[in-house]
Amino acid sequence: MALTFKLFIDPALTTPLAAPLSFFVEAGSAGHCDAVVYLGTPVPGRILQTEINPGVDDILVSVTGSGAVAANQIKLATSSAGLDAATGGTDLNLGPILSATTPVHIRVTEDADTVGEVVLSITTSALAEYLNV
Amino acid sequence: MPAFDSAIFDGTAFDSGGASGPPPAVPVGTGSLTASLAVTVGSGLVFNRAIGGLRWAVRVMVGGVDISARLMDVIRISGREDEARIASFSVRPVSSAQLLSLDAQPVTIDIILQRGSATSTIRRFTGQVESVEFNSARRIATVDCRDAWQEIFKACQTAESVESLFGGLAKISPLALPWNAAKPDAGAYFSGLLATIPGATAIDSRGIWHAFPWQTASPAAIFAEGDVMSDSVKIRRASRRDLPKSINVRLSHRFHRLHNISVPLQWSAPTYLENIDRGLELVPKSTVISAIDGIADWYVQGKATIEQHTPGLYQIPYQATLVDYMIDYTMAQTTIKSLAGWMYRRWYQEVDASYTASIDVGGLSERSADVSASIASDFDADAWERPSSAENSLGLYVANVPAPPAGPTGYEALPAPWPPFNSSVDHYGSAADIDLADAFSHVLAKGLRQASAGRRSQTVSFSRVLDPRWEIGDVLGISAYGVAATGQISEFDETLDMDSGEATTEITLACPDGNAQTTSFTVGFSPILAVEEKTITHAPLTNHYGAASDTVYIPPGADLDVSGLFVNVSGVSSWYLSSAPIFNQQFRVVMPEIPAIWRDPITPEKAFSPTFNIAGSGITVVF
Repeated sequence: MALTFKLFIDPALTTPLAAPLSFFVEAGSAGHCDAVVYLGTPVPGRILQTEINPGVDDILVSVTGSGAVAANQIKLATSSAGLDAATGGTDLNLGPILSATTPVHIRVTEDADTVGEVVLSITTSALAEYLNV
Repeated sequence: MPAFDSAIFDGTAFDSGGASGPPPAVPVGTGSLTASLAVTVGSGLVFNRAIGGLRWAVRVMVGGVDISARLMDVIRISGREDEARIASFSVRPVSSAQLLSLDAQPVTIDIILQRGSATSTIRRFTGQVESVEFNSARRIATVDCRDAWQEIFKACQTAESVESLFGGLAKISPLALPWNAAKPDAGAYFSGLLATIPGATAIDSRGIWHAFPWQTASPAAIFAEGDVMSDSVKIRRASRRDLPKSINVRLSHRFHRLHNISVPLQWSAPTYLENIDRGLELVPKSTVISAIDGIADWYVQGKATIEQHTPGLYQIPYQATLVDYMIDYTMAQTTIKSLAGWMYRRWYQEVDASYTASIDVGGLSERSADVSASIASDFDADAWERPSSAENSLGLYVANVPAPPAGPTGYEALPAPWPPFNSSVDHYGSAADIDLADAFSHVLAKGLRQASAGRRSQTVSFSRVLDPRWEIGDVLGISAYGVAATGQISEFDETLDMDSGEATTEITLACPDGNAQTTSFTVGFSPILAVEEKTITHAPLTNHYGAASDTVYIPPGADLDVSGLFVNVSGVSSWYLSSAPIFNQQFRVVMPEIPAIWRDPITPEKAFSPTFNIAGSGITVVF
């Protein structure tokens, strides 16, 4: 059965993220482009854990893919302020159990002059959803 | 020795063959979550006019189908604070099936820019087809699109969901703006909270929801004369309509002030000597008790101490002899020697308190705007005021109570709360002081937003060659044609003409006159409290003898101030005087009236002087 936990475009968890999340950064600008999506479920009484070693292993969000922007140019954090301290390409650790809506802030940084387009992905660990009893 | 010796059993004694503990939970869903990130590293040179002319193209995807090649006429995209972003374009469908398939489809619009060898692709719209109008003569469909700004808050099912959309900026008050769980109205609740945020909401080009504060910051770009169209720079000053002189904020709070007052009961029956001398009977206990129980609105606190006579034969010295005075057992049980205790009354007073503040907006008009809210206590004061019918001064038992209550207070038959002795307490029902503070902050926030929005109607707008990099809320600056200002983007309009090739972005910056970097307020709230000690005078319980030579005449009107035993002397008593006033024999208790200041509704007001900050640096104009 599919997860009811999804990535949403709003903190109220009304609209799942459908289209690819678009980022634009100017080459050589040393600038960045941020976005935030929300990991959660609109179904009450559910928790999310890893499929293997549930409740023990941490849920991780990682960046995959490469191209004009490498994975290490993507920073992940659970807060906007956390992006400043995050290390590019490092997995985001959400802990072993998720029961509340968790923002996932994404920052694409630009530190090269390579112009182009690339489709990367953020992917979670293999997850299992449980009734929170 | 304990009955159970755990040492007898080793660790495997209860091993049923598997791991101990409950069976592992079965997941209700499994999988991984993935999101695609479409990253464009574009050249900023496409925005550099010095390089040469700008070429542009548009990629419009409707329901996953690229219809860019069939676009016609003009494409418009515009966004405003606290509104849905809208887009419109015209397309010549390849077939009637394609025309009919446009309805309600997801739409993305990407703008591809090229200047010289530099290119950039920027997403500018993510939404849904709202309506389609087809001109059959031209075979062109005009498609209007909108993002999900309305849908998102209208889809919320809980108060918490709506509140989450403001990212902590909203001033939440269940008292001033309650969420009706029985009949949820997410739209109304959203609008109510939106009116309190010192900021705005929008969905960005990528379809992501944002709530952002109104603030000043370093501009992401400052446009000079070469960057903007020469005749496009316009300043709009805040209008008198938008900018009142002041905004008066008022929170009205209706609640109950609960009063309590107690008066002592002290009375002693005539002495045996007086009974002999004046020819009086012992006073029946029932006479006194019924008098006390019959006083409207007053009740005995706890149980009154009623002293009975002790049966026996007494020898009372009277006129140089000893007179036998006999009290038998039955007589002793049914008569009273003295009474001691307290009577109390409690009542509520309606209070319509007002908490006020004024925000100096600085408008030139004399007009003041009002922002107000009213809240009321849910306390059932009528039920509180009356004791249950079981409350009386006599009680069920005289002695050998089967289960004596622990620590009687005298108020057991009455519901809480208990006002302090001879004082009062302001009671808000289920609300606490913090709830009241939240309600006041809620209405203050509404006032501040109205004031700030009024000032933010001072704007600078300008047009430049297509520049789709910016979002609502971004901070930009302009220093061109004698105008210097920095402000947040409050609206933008983009027009891309497929026929002429002209493409412009008109940007409007909110540039309020402000006094801070962030719009905010601070207030130290404390509720109106009037808990005062009060005392009340009352007539003491004394013995009054009628038909006697020493009878004291009580004039009309003064009878409200006398209490106690009213009894006439015997006709054989030496005190008897037939012409003296003769009483209706009774035990009479007259309790004091409650003064109007503690009884009638009152309307106290408390004014606060919060600190208001409105973000903005204004506009500088040089001729």
